[in-house]
Formats: sequence, C-alpha cells, structure tokens
Amino acid sequence: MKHLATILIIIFMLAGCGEDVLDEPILGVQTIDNYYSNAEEANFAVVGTYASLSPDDWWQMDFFWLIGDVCSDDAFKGNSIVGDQLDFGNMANFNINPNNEWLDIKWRFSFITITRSNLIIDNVSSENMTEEEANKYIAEAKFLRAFSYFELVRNFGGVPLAITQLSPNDANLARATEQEVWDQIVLDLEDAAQHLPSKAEQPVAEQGRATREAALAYLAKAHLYQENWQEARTYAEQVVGSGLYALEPDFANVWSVANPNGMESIFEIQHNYDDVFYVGNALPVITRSRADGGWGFATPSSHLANFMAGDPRLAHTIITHGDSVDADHPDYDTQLSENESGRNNRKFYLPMEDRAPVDEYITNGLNHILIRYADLLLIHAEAAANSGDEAAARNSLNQVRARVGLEEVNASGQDLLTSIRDERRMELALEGHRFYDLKRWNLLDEAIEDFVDYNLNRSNDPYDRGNPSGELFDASRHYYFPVPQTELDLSQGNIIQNPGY
Amino acid sequence: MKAKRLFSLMGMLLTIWSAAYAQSSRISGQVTDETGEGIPGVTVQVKGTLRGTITDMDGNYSIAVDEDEVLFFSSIGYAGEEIAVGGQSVINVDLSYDVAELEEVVVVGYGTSTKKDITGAISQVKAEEFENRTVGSVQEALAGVMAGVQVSSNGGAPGASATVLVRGLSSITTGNDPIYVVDGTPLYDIEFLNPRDIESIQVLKDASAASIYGSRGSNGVVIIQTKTGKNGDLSVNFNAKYGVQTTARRPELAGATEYAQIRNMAAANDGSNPPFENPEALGQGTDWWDELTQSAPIQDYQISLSKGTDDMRIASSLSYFSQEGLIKGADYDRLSFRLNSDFDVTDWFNLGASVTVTQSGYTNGPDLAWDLQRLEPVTPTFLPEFEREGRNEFSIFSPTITDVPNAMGTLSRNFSTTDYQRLVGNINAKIQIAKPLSLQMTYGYYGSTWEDNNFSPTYFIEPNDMSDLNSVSRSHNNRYRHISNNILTYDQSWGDHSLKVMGGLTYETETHRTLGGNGTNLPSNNEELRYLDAAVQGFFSFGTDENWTLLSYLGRINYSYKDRYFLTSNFRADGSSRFPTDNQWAVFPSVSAAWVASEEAFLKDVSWVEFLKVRAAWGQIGNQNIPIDARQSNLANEYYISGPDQQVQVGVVPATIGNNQLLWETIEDVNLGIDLSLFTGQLQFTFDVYERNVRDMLLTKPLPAYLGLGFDEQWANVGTMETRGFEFLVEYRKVMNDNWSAKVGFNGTNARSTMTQLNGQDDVYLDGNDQRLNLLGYTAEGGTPSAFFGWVTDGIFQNESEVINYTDNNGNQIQPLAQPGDFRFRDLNNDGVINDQDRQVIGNPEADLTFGLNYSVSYRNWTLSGLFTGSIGGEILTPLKAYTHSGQGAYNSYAGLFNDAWNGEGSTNTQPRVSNIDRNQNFRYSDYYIEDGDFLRLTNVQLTYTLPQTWTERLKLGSLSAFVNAENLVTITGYDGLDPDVGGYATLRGVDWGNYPLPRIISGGINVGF
Repeated sequence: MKHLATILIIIFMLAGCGEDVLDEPILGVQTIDNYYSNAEEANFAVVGTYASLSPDDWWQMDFFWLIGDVCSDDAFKGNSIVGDQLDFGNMANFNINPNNEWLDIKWRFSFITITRSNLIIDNVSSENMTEEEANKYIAEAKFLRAFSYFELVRNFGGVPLAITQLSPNDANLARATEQEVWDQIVLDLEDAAQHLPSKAEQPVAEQGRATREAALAYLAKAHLYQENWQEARTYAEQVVGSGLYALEPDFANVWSVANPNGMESIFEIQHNYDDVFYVGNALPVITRSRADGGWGFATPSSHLANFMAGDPRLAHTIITHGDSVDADHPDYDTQLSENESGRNNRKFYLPMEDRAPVDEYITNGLNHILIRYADLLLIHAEAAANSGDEAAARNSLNQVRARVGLEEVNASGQDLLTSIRDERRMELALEGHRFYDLKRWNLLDEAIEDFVDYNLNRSNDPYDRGNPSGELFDASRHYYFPVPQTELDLSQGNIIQNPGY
Repeated sequence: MKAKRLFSLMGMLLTIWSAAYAQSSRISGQVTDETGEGIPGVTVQVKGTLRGTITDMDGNYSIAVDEDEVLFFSSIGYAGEEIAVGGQSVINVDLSYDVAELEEVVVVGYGTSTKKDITGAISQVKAEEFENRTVGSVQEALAGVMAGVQVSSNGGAPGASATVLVRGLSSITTGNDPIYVVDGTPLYDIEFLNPRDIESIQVLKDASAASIYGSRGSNGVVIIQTKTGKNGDLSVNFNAKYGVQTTARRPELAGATEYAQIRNMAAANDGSNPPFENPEALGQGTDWWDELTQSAPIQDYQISLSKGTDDMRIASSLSYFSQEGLIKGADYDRLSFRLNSDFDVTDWFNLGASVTVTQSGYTNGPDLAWDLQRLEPVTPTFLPEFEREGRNEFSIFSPTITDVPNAMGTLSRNFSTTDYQRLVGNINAKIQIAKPLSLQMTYGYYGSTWEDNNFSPTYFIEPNDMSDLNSVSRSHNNRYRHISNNILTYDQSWGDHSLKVMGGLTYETETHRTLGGNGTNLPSNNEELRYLDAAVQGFFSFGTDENWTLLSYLGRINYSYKDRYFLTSNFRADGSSRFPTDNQWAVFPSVSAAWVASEEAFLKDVSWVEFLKVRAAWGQIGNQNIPIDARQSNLANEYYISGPDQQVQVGVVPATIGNNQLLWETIEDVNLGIDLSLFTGQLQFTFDVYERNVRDMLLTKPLPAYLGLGFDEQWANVGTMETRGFEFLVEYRKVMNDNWSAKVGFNGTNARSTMTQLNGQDDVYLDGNDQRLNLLGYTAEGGTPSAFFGWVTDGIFQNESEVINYTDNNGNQIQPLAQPGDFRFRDLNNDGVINDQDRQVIGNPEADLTFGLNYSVSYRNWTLSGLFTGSIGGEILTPLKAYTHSGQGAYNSYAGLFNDAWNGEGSTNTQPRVSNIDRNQNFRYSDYYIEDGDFLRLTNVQLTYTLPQTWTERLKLGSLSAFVNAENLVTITGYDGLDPDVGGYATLRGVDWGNYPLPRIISGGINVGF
C-alpha cells in the first residue's frame, strides 16, 4: 500500500506536464496580428485614425488650435489667472521652453495619427476587398498622415519622418529637413486626391470624412506654405472647378452646431454630443467667458477688433463686454476681473440651446472647421497674385468680400497682396491661422512688435491697454517652436533642438 | 478551467489513500527548564518523520514511537535536545536556555531548517518584536528590525501599505515587492492578515535561499507563519489598543499677508501692477492645512482562543482594526476572523486546515496633501453666508484663483468607497509514507472581491470646478487563486551523515475578473438616489477577464557531515503562461555551503566563542512579473462621428505594442556570510556581503513619440543591473540579575545598484512626469537607477555686470536673458549657451546605509523597548518647490519666501528673485531641488507593565499586561519637507510629491489572558 501511494504521486506529477496547462489566451481583446485584412476592419481602422484628431477625453488637443491666435496679434492667453494653464500662458507670452506641455501634446498626438495611418497604408491590400475599397482606405490614411505632418512642420519645422510602421528596435530617427517633410506631404496628398471619393460621390454615412476636394485643398495650402504659387493656384482652382462648394450666404452660419459640414466646409473635425462617448469639442467652453460657464481663454485683442472696425464680420467674430449676444445674454459679461481683454471668441460661442448638458469640455457638438471655401478662395487669391494673375486673385478675394457685402478691391501689386492678407486676418480671425500666416509672410516679428507697441503705448482700449504679452518675442527663435524635451531626451542625441532653445 | 481546478484538488484526494503500518509503544514525560518549571509549547518531534506533538501548559507530553527512533525537543529560546528512545517509556528532558537560538526552527520554503543549519541569507523576526506596536500592516512591522530589509512608510494614509525592499533593487519596472508566503501559500496581498495573528516572519534574502521560489523569489521571499494552537486547556486572550494620530510635521506656509507681499513682489519684478493693495490688512488668511487635517483615532482589538489535546490543536481569533485619516475624508477598517486547526488522524497522517475571512473597507479620501500646500491663503474656504442661497451643499465653497480647486469643496464631494472581502485558506495533509519518506500536500485558496462605489454630485463653484451632471458608478473586481503544493521529503541520518532530499510539484492559477457600470443624470443629489437604478442616461459598462498559470517542479538536497559541514542545493523549473509559448520555461538552480568552525577541534575549547559559521552561496532566480498581455499587440476602440445625423462610429486602434520575444528575467547572486556568537551568546553578530546581477531585465521602455503610441510603453528584456551590498546585525543581551535584563540590537543595510547596461549605448530610461520639472527619474548606463539629472546652479547674479560678464571664451554672454536675482547655471560643455547639454547627474536617492536600532530594558515587571530607524546618504528631489519656492503663478509659498527671495545685491545667493515671467527659467530641474535625506527617527517607544503572577492568580487571570506606545515620536533631519522617508520605486525613488503626512501615534492598550 505504501508503494501504491508513491506510484500514484509519480503519476500525479507526470499528469502536470500537459502542455496546455500554460496556455492562457488573452481574453476580450483583438490583437493587431492579421488585422486590417478585410474591408470592415480597414474601415474600423480608418475611423480610429480620424478619432485621433480629437481624442476622446483628451481636450488638450483641441486647445492647441488656439495657439495660432494667442501667438499672434489677434488674441491673448485670455484668462488672467496666472496659474490657470500657466504653460498655455507661456506659449501666448512667448516664454516658451521645451518642457511646455502643449508642445508635447501636439507632437505626441500628431504622431499617433501618423502611426495609425502608417499601419493602414502598410497592411491594407486588395486581397480581401475590392481594389477600389483598399485604395480609398489607403487614400484616407494618406490624407490624415499628410494632415498631421502639415501640422508638425508648420509648428516645429523638420520632424522625424516615419512613413511606415516602425518597430521599437529601429526607433532612432533623426529629424528630416523641412523640405523633405513638405515633399512627403505633397506626395501623400497627391495619392489621396487620386483615390478619395469626390464630395459628390461620398457615401452619405461617411459624410465628414476626407474627400478628393479636401486633399486638393490641402495640396493648395501645402504649396502656398512653400510658396509654390503656381501649384497652389492650380489645386485651388480644381476645388473651385468642382462646383461642389459655395460660401454660406450668412457669415453667422459658418460656425454653427446646426450646420455641420455645411456648403462652405471642405474638411472639419466631427463632433457631437453623446451620452456615453466623449466625442465633443472642447473649444466652446475653453473660449467662453468665465462668467458664462467658460474657461475664458484666447480672448480677442482690441488690436484685432480695431482692425475689423466697421467690418460686418466683427459681430460674428468677437463678443465685447456688454454686447447683446442673444436672448439669454442681452448684456454679455466677459468677467472683466479674469479676462485679459474684455472680449471673447464669438465663432465658438454656443447659445444655450446648443450647449451639451454635461461635461461641456468634452461633449459639445460644434464641428471644428479646418479648411473652408473662404480660406481656399483666399489661398487662390494669394497664389494667383503672387504668380502674376491679379485679375483671378481679385476675383477670388472679392467673392469673399461680397458675401458680407463689402465693396470690391481693385488694387494691384503690393496693395493687392496686402488686401488679401488683411482679408485673411478678418475672414479667418480666431480660427487658428494667424500665427502661421504671419510666419510664412515673414511678418511675424513686425506684427508682434506692432502689437506690443500698440498695447503699451498707443492703445486707449479700456480692457487690454498696457498688456505686455508678446514682449518676450524673439524673432531669432520663435518662428519655430522647440522640440519637446522628452523627445530629445529619448533620442540619444539623434534629434537636434531648434536654434535658440 | 474546471479541469484545472480538478487537477489542483487531486492532491487532496490522494490523501484518501491510506495505509496503516505497525506502531509501537507510547512514551510520555515532562520537559522542564533550568529551574525545573515545565515548559509549555515545546515541539516534540520524531526525527526524520512528521510525527510530533506539543507539550501542555505544564510541559507534559506523550507520543507513540518505535524503539529505534529519536525524539527531538525544540522550543523558542531553548537549545534543542535529541534523545534516542531506546527502551524507555518515560523521557524527562531539561532544556537549557539557548540565547543563541541556534536550534530555533526557521521556515525555509517547502520545509524547515534550524538556524544552525542554514547556508543562505535568511532573517527572522518573532511576534513579540512587533506585537504591541501600533501598526496596521505586516509591512510596517518589518521596518527597521531586519538587516537587508528596507521599509519606506509612504506617509500614513489609512490602510496604505509601505514599500518593502529586500536588498535594494532587483528590477526596474516590474516592481520590487517581495512575495509573501503565508503558511505555505504564496500571495501578493497580505492585507487580510492582522499582524497579531503572526507567529514569526522570515525573509529569504539571497538567491540561494529564495531560488526554491524560482520566479517568485526575485524580490525576496517573506515567509509568514501564523499562530497555531498550543497543547493544553483552552486559553483565551484579549488585546485592546487605542491611539490618537497627529501630524508628525506640518508644512510652514505663507499666510495671506506674506502671500500678497510675494505676489506684489513678483509683479514689481515683472513691471506689472501689484495685485494686492494692502497686504498687511489680509492677516493670516485661510490655513488650508488646519482646515483639512485632524487628529484621528486608531484602534485595534483582538480576542483569541487556543486549545490543544494529544491529537488536535486549534487556534482562533477575531480582530478589528480601524484608522481615520489625518487628512479628513479618509478612513479604513478591517474585521478579520481566523481559524487554524491541526489533527493527527493516525500517527502517520496529519491533517491541517486554516482559514481567514477578512472584511475591510475604505473611504477613499481625495489626495489632497499636495493641493493643501499650494492653495492660496487669501481665499476663504466658504462663500459668505448671503452668497450661499440657492446653492446646494457642494457649491458653497469659494472659488480659488489657481487651477487647484477648493480643497474643502473636493472633500465635500468625496463619495468614493471600497469594500473588500477576502477569503484565504488552505488544507494540508502530511503523510508518513515510510520512515524516512513523507509527503505533504497543500491546497491553498485565495479569493478576494472588492467593490468600488462612486458618486459625483452636480455642483458649481466656478467654471473650472463644476458639474452639471451627477453620476454614479460601481465596479467589482474578483480574484480567485488556486494553489497546489505536493512535496515529498526524504530525511535520513547515518553515522556522521545527514541527508534530506525534497522534491515536488506546485501549480498555481489565477482568474481575475472585473465588472463595472456607470450611469448619469440622477434625479437629484439625494443620498437615497445615489444608485445606478436612479440613473437615466450615460449608461456604460465594462468587464474584463484575465487568467494566468504557473507550473513548477522543484527540489532540494541538504547534506551535512558531522554537524560541521553543510551543503544545500535548490532547483526549480518554472513554466509561466505570461511568456510567448517558446519561452515559457526556465530553470533556477542554486548551491550553498556552510562551515561551522566552532565545532572544529581548534575552536571547541575556546570558551568565549560559542558559535562561528561561515557561509557561501550562489543562486539564480527569475522574474515573470509582467502584464499577462505584454507578449502581444492589442487593439482598442475609439469613437468618431460621421454621417448626416452625426452618428457615433466605432474605430479600432492599436493600443499596445507587444513583444513576442519576451524572456524570463534572470537574477544571479553570490552571498558570503558569517555568523558569530560570543560569550555564551550574549553578543551575536551576523554579516553578509553580496553581489547580484540581473540580466534580460524586464522593462517598459518609453518610446519616442514618433512611434505613435502616445503615452504607452513596450515591455522588453532590456539591460543588466548589478547590486552590491552588505548588511549586518549586532545584538547584545544581558541578564544582569533577577530584576534587570537588557537587549540591544543594531542592524544596517547597504545596497548599491548600478545599471550596467540598458538598451544599447548611452541609453537612458526616464520616468515620472512632473508638469514643471518634466521627467524626474534618470536611469542611465553605468549609473544609479533613478538618479536625479538636471542643470547645475552656481549662485545668483547679484548685479547687471555679473550677468554681462558671464561669457564664454569668445566673449558671448552665456545667459543673455538673465537679470540680477536669477540663477547662474554652469555651462558644462562650454559652448556658450545653457541648454540640454548642460545637464548632469545632480543627485542620488540611494542611501549609503539604512539602519534600525532596537532596544529593550526590563526591570522586574516593567519593560521599556523601542526602535530607532534611520537613513544616511540618500538624497531627495522636491518638485513641490517649483510651486512653493518660485512665487510663480498664484500658488501659495512657504513661509519666509518674501524675506528669503533675492531682493537686491547681496541679499542672497541661494533663493532667486520671484517672477512670473522668469525668462531665465530659474525653476528648471536643477540641483536647487535636491536635498539631503538623512534622518534618524524614534519610530517606536513602548513601556509595558506585566502584572506579577501572584496578582493574576488572585484575579483568576492567566496574565495581564498594559502598555503605552508612541510611533514616530521624534524625527531628526535637516530635510525641509514633511517626511524624508519618501520611498518610491526603482526608476523613480526619493521624489517627494507632497506625500500623505506621517502620523505620530500615541496609544495605550492591555493584553489579558484568561
């Protein structure tokens, strides 16, 4: 009997050798292996890539769109509480260092979009779907990749150029040159334009996703930034020639929860209120007055207000303290004690009925327009004026002016260029373009200098007179933002900082 | 799964097979001490078998034995004695006091040994060392009492556990918590256990000792034996303890006047208008610290029972512990019931079972310690009475002027509770198969379930601190673990030889499941409606399932010759489900030897040398402590909008980067040790020196953002690390006379880790993101893990000409943006600018020595005992200074900044001017933030009075003692922060984030035996 027990134990131990004992699959998640293998998966992956444009529960990405305004003469940090979003204030004041959190967020999340795009471009093939489907998904990925590199290059200059999915083992990229990045953007957008559906052919359920015209419009813009006037003009004309876009008759209707993907919209980030998923836009609450449940950031300057004096668009661009905005706000309170300029952004302002009931900072339904027809017309005007076709330039410029009832411009030469630039400032004010426009016109130092001089010496505005914001601007370095410190530290010396930081 | 559970239970079924074999005479006797008093609780063991018994209250025993067998008598504090049975029927034994405790039983993992026989590095601590201390957890009880074991308190949040490091770091990102083995069952969670239920704790420190736990042993093994029943009549004990906690140290923060002065000063320095007209009129303002902290009670009660007869022993206890938070809003309590039983079914078959049921609950206080130090004193806590009208109870607080929300408001909305239920138990069977051969089978179970409940009300304090929608959530988190150990032991002695061979199989499997739900828009904030049923929208649910399995074969050989030469070899093969299929198995061997020189002829006659042993050991252990899904790249869902109705669409995105090449991390170490006992054991000395090498280290690598994973990191086998150190224990005991006795022990630990290799040349691992200082912990090849890395300050520019004259070789100004009052930074690479290249290692959190000193002095019935702990040579990084010392933003400052800050030539060379613009970046990560972390703390002091026996007899009591106790009474340190004992983990240590304040606890209690 004793031996029986011993034998049983030995058998028992051997029984434990079963190989499958250690087989514990990971439950409840899909793995990336073999994903992207059919049209449905490719579509999910593309939707996921769009989602990274404004990640749910990550309102900071929306915040960065304001950098184009607060780093210019159009707006201040806004919220005058120094400690409230200090790093955002540091951006607005040009007290910028490589540890600034907004730069890290912009950099990091742009590359998330790029990586998701790369995975689609690398893995989607026509094996298990029609060639047309495969081409379309790849084209959307290329559009989003180009879009993200466009965002990176205009903020940081040359960046690491990842155009295929990289493994952590070969993570030793250096920065590509600015031109190399632009070349890649153009290449991707050209491919995208070839395979994306036209707005006219896009399936209704996909409304809001990239179209051929969106790719063409970004091609025009990318060439404009590179001062390839002829190309910029050609691509802009292709969009105009499609006949699919028109200016909203009512300027006030451009930014409206009730008008998603309107007739003027070429590409916009889609937002909506949802009970469960955070797919909303943070900007309405970020820019609204602190007296009106907002956070009071990126308040417009009197410099901009004066510039637009008499312009019919002014009332739809800026809320000034005491304005009658709507029935609920007959005497608008901009919370002067906490507002650097007694003004708020009107474009992102939502009337009570359009505000999300809860967690507004991640749930508001206002779509964020990235490129619209007026922008495109002005791109065309600028490109045409610079390539010698002033008639065409005036034509586009005057379409934009005519929409709001302004008289035609008949200028030419430098005056025409100035008119186009002024028009861009007014038409697109507070939509995040100004810093980048000034930068490519090489007028950033001049504009900031004038802005500071105006505020400190010439202004008699009751609200923002004496504000020194911009005083620290330094033309030798502030044309580019610094590469995030974390990225430098991780690059083992491969990534070189921009000059002056 | 069912099959697996069945498999682990099969071990138990085997116990049914039983075989009877011949047994012979029964013998009995009494075990007495040197004074002739019977000793209760002496273990009487038939050598080489499992059979044994325990003496009763008077020292009597009886046991069945064969004539040719040998009895072994052992008890804590006495020298063990071996007696051959021969033909005797009565064996009376005198045990002599053994101060050296050399024969004391030490649990070594899947078996026991005695102190004398041990060849590896093992420390032990007994219940009496911590029994009366006011500690809520086992970890706290370990602080300062063992060489080689470092414990950091992490502040004193109710129910929070301390960090335990055995011999410094052995891993970078997989955690450094040791594994706890409670009565043979390996566990990660010992919160269920009341320290009072513990009989002894032993820590296996080196690889030779820990390798029997293979992959679990990499951070050390803490083996806990719980109290078992004693032979004799029913004994009942009652213990009660009540104490009050106060903050050991509070931060000195500016009052409203100084706050306003500092802000005005910053404004003046920046050329803007002063925000405050008349600072003096503001007075002291709000003291946020006072508002939010309290003195808080801590209580501990236990009733325990014990009884034993010839063939069964039972111990049981019921305990209650509760602690309120020093910062309001948090509390913790724990109710536990424990039952230990042990039955001799036949003289060759023993069955034991133990079970602990614990219920504990937390009110999770918001983490306010940092907020309290930054909130501005000019803001009142509440709105004035007339402004509160029409506001709900969560909205009556003043808005603050920084992004730190009103802490009283945060506290009022704190409806987060966690309730834990734990059931931990095991059944074990010991079978004597043939005389030298025995089998022990244990089935262990650990089940825990916790439930989290949260409610967030609607409220409005200010636009940045409000919610228009209330919500409620509940989640469940269940863990079930099954552990089966099956161990065969062969134990035989012949002549001068003694041989013990152990072999076994263990199997562990865990299922971890979660389920949670969320809902919003309750009809109101009413207490009765804070339930999911009341929610009308925002429904959201989640549920996860995770399983892992570990299968192991293990073995050990102990051989000794003439009780002088000892050899031990362990072996363990582990298979883990966490790794990719081809890399699941790994083998961990060890070998160690010891020489008891004092048994040799040349030392035998040296009277003052009681005992001298020299030890040498080598071993390997592994580490598998990675997430179960680290091996594969997973996808997750994100959401976007499209279509004319703006519909939510599901998107699928990469969420993690897996690594299908993952391997076991291997830790190899060498240990040399010496144990010395002099003057009949009055002076004892242990010294160990070791070197440990970790290779194929499991590490999460932060990846460049252009790899596109956002903040995610990948697991990889990266790098090697070396840790060298020594540890010592010196103990002196003296019984002066009948009235006086004294004991003092001093232990010290030194562990120095060096990252010998990371992922390739010059690679750096960074950790810990602070909004102001960025990445804090710097681990580079050739350096200490989690060093501090930043710029080097060189005083303050006192005037304009110093700024202008600070130039490089070409005469270019190095800090053109600086102004007088700003820091001068060293241009380390002499390139004429201050940038990233001018950073270096500026501090090291690793202590040169951590130590503990315990003492005890007894005079008649009074005993004064206590514990000092301390640390020398470690440094602390204080990111909080970017707020409290910079005058930037609208945060509060420390008291005195107004006078300390640079304010004109010659005013100071250490504290820069205050400024909101700070173009010089004075408050970047520099040596300014590094402080000395040396401290000496009177961790515990205790005075106990035991009622003389004559009195207890008159009162018809078994025993009665009373004590007063103080924890953390005094800390001597030059460190300015709240507590220098900041802890942390491998790649981010020594960072003072504004931890929970350390409590000073004064308590008193009684122990009554009936």
